Parts: sequence; structure tokens; C-alpha cells
Amino acid sequence: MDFFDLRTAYLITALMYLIVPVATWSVLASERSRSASLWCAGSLLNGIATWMAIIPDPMSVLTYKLLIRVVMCLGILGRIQSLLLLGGQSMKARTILLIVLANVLFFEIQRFFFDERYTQVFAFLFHGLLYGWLSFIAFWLYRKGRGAGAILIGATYLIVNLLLLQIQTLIIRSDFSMDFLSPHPATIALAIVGVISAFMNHIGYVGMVLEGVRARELEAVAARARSEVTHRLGEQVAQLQRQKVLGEMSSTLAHELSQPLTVVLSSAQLARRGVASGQLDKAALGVLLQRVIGGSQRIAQIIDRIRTYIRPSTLTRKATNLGNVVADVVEMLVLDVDERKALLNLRLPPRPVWVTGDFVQLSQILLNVVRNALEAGAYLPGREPVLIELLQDGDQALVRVSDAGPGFTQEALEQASRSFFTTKPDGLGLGLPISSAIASQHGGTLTWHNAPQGGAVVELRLPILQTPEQDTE
Amino acid sequence: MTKMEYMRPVTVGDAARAERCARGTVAIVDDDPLILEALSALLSFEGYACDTFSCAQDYLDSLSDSVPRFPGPRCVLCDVHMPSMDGLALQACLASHPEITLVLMSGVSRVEQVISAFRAGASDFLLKPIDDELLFAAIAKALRASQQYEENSHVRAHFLARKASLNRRELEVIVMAAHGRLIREIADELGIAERTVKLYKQRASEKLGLKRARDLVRLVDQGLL
Repeated sequence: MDFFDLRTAYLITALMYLIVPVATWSVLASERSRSASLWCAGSLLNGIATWMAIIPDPMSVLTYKLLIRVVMCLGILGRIQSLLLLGGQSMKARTILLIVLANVLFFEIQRFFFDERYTQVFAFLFHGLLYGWLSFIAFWLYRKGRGAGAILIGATYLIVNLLLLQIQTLIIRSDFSMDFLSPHPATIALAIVGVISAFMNHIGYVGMVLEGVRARELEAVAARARSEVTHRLGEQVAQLQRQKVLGEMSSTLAHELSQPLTVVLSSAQLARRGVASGQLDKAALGVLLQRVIGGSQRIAQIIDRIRTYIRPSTLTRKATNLGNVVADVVEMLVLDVDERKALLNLRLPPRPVWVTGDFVQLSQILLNVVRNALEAGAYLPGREPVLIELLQDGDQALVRVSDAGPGFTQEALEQASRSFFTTKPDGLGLGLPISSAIASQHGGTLTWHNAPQGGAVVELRLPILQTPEQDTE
Repeated sequence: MTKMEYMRPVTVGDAARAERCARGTVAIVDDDPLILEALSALLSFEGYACDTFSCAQDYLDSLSDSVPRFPGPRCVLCDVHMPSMDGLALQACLASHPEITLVLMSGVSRVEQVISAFRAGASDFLLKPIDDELLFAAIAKALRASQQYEENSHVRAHFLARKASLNRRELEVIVMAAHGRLIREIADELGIAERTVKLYKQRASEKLGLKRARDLVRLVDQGLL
């Protein structure tokens, strides 16, 4: 065993514990959390303490030995705290202080009451306990799923601990004829393990950090995937709601389609009769055919609007005139308004109000809101008009729908933005949540409150597009 | 009921119009001008006089203005769904004009509306788009009903005038006879001779223009005696 100098081995360990933490710390770069700093600092202190323990004592023995113990203790405690932080827990500063004090006290008591020779043993006993705790925490981290690096750390310190125990036992049994620097398989093993542990621990720590980074990335990807699914589902729900509304308005559609169809059928049948009886001249026939064509085109328009409304919306962003949106929605609700004997009061500005958005989705918002207003008005014996205003409020476009119904209840004010909250007997409770979502997607807001004079007010605010280029709606 | 003032045709245009009115006057009421155009073209082709109105109030105003008309049956073809006054409300207003029959039309078929329309006495209810044969059949039926009503009311007026020409005794006797009393019983009740009763009965029958005993019973059924 002559080629193996224990002192040199410990020297190398000390060197490793000085260099490797610094290297690790610089490598961790963007992942330098408090935990990492503590780990590297703790290891550094360990290196310093080991170094101090090996070189000849420059000052008085007692103070020096005390200093070594304190530094060593802090080194281990630093690493313990670092691992605790990784696991989401923390030791209080008080506790750390207490342990250091206990160490000092223990040292003083032991020195006072016991032999000088026991110093080393007691020191390593104390530190052995701390190392035991450290490896316990490392295994705890592994069970928490922090990765294989934790096992590496835990195993290393466990071995260190076992070796320390072994050596202490040997020292006591040999009646203090040996110490840590006496050549012996156990002490040699400790020296070798000490060297290896220097970089094994840091590899293990970096491994855990990498594992943490990977877990965060996975979570980010999962979160992105979830939000995409939510977004897509949201789009589908919005489309389904449009289809539902359209279904409810099917009698409106039947009525709308029946008008031009009547013109087409009657004109064509008249043409046939007239031609058969020879009473129709070319000019009159031309007029009738023109009516057939006009009626058919009108039907095509209506069908086109239905198709646009129920198709899955790929959010098209075009310059849209809100005035047109309001007018279109009012037209769709003509039959609804008639049947309820309601009145719609429109206040539109003379010039167009441009926003960037999707025509169909914006009309979906207004359709939901105005239908709600019409239903609210149903409670009234009189015929208070539903007021729809479009105005420019600073750099925002504002569409305000006011009714003179009973207004929102306190519960409704709080809950209306939640899905599936409804005050209608056959309602789904999706109109307002979907409309709010669409408004947000357009960079605007949908808000509602009660008017001071009674009745509900719903406001849609959207950022104004200053100058629309071509491709407008 | 006031007597109608009927015009006499003066110009050639008047004559054409009068001929159409005699066949039937159809008032078309719909808020869609294209429909007014199309339907009035079709009905005019069939020989009717067509007047178009874009709202029910306009039509009602035209009824109350004192422009005299050419004689003939009248009906209204009206859309159920209109802003302000709808078809069913118009039907209620026309209750005071029983000689004008009503055909309703609609783009949607709400069962309750159809039921209440027929209950209130509508002649027909058509769904848009309207087939020409169906339209003509419905209009013809409505005009026939209007014609029938006019004839009935003339007959009634005529009869009531005749009834007024009977004196007291004649009226008493013919009423009792209509209710199945024998001549002997009538004579006993009124305290006159049987021969006198027979005379009164015969005179009353002549004045009323009765031909058969059956007519007498029918008059009782109609509540006229």
C-alpha cells in the first residue's frame, strides 16, 4: 500500500471538492436556482474543510478544529437545504443555526468531559448523522420522481456514512492507536470513495437539474397541446351554438325563403298560362322572367348566408363594417321581432365603423345578445323598444344593446359568463360565454350590467381599425 | 245597414274595371312589394280586379273612405306576418264587414294561427309559395261566399220590407199559423170567425210571397217570423 498515500488522496478529494462545485456552478448557467447555489456552496465548504483538516494547523489547535467542524457542518447543511429546496421544502434558518450551535456545544462538552482522542470520533459521529440525513433526503427526492441523479447522491453518501461508521468502530476498537490517516482498507476505501464522490455527487445533482428541465418542457408541451385542444373544442362549440341558433330560427328561414319563392312560382305559372293562351307579349314575358331570376337570386343569397353561418369558422380577419353586421343581424331577427310584437330601435352612425374581425363570428355575438334582449322584453305588457346603438368611443367601437326588461339578477351578473348558466327554461347557457370568448379573440370585451332606470345593458367593445385597405366586408 | 252606393260605368276604362269587379275584387295585403306585384299580376290575368296594399291599415282606411264602388263580390288576400297590424288582427277588424271574405297566406305554418284563423271565419289559409291552381280555387271560393252573403242579405232586406207591409191581424194570424196552430184554434184565440182567419192568412201569404206551406216553416227556422 505504499504507493497509496492517504494524505495525498484526501488532498485530491479536497481539490476536487474545490474545483468541481465551481465547474458545476458555471455549467448550470441558466438553471442557477437557490438550490444549485446552495449545493455548490455546500460542496465548496466541504472542500475547504477537508483541506483545512489535512494541512498543518496554522493557529491554535482548538479554535482551528472548531472552525473545521463548523465549516464542515455548514457544508453538509448547505447541501441538505439544497436538496430540500428541490423537493419543495425548506429548513428554517433557525434550525440551521441550532444545529451548528449544537455541533459547537457538543464539541465543547465532549472536549470538557472526555478525552482529546475522542474528538475526531465524536466529530465524525455528528457529521455521520448529517450525512445520513442527506442521503435520506436524496432517496426521498428519488421517490418524488426527481430522477436517477438522486439515487447517485443518496448511494454515495450512504457508502460514505457506512465507511465512516466502520472506521470509527475500528478506531475505538483499536483503542485509538489508529486514526483516519492510518493505512487500512477502510480508510483507503474512504479516501477513494471521497475522491469519487466529489464528482459523482455533482453529476447526480446536474442529472436532477436536467430531469427538472425536461419535466418543465414536457409540462409546457402538454399545456400547449391542452390549450390547442381547448381552442379547437371552443371553436367547435361556437359552431354548434351557431347551428343551434339557426335551428331555432328555422321558421324565420322558412318565412324568408317563402317570399322570393312565391314570386318565382307565381311569375313562372303566370308566364306559362299567358304563353299558352297567347295573351302574353314578349315584353310582359320578359318582365315575368326577370321576376323569376330576381327571386331565385334572392333565394341563393339567403342560402349562402345560412351556409356561411354554420360552416366551421376558420377565423378570417378582414376589415369589417360593424354597421353591416348590425343591419344583417336585425334582418335575421325580423320575424322574431314581429311575432313578439317587439320594437327594435336602431341608432347607427352615418359613416361605416371599421374593425378587424370575422363577420360571421361578430354577428354571432350580436345575434345572441339581441335575442336575449328580445326575450327579456317579453315580460313586459307594453312594447318598450330594444335599443341597438353603434358608436365610436375614443379608439374603440361600441355596440350597445339595451332592453327595458327586468334586468340581470345578482346571481346572473356573477354567473352569466360561466358556461351552462341560463335563466331560460330551454336554454343551453352558452350564448354569453361563447360571445365573450369571441370578443376576447377579437381583442375586445363583452360586458353587461343593469341600467340605472331598469333593464339590462350589454356592451361590445372592439378596437377600431383606422384605415381599411381593400378586401373589406 | 246602409245601402251601398254603386257607380255606373261611364268611360271605357270604367267599363273594363266594372267588368272585373263584377267577377270579383281581390284586395291583396302584404308588406313585400314583390309579392304584391307577382300575385296581382296572376289574379288580374284571371280577370279579377286587384287592389294592392302594403299594410293592413291602408286597406282599412280604403274601406271607410266614401269612394263609391262597382258592384261585385269582394275578398281580401292577406299575409299573416306583417309589422304593426298582422293578418289575424285584420281579420278581427273585418268582423264588421261580413260581406268581405278573407283568405290568409303565410310562409310558416303555425298550427295555433291556422286554427284561430279558421275559427274566426277565414275562408282559407294558403302556404307560400302558392300554386296558381290552389290560389284560384281559394279566391273563387271566397268570392262565392261573399256573393252568397250579399244575395242573402238582399233577400233578408226584401223580406223584412214585405213583413212590414202586413197589418196587425195579418201578422198575428200568419205567425200563429207558422207555428202550427189550426185555423179553428187561431179563431178561438183571437175571437174572430174562422172565415176571417182564412182571409187574413191568405192575404199575408200573398204579401209575403209565400208559395208553399214549406216556405212558412223555413221562415220560422230562419228566425224571420
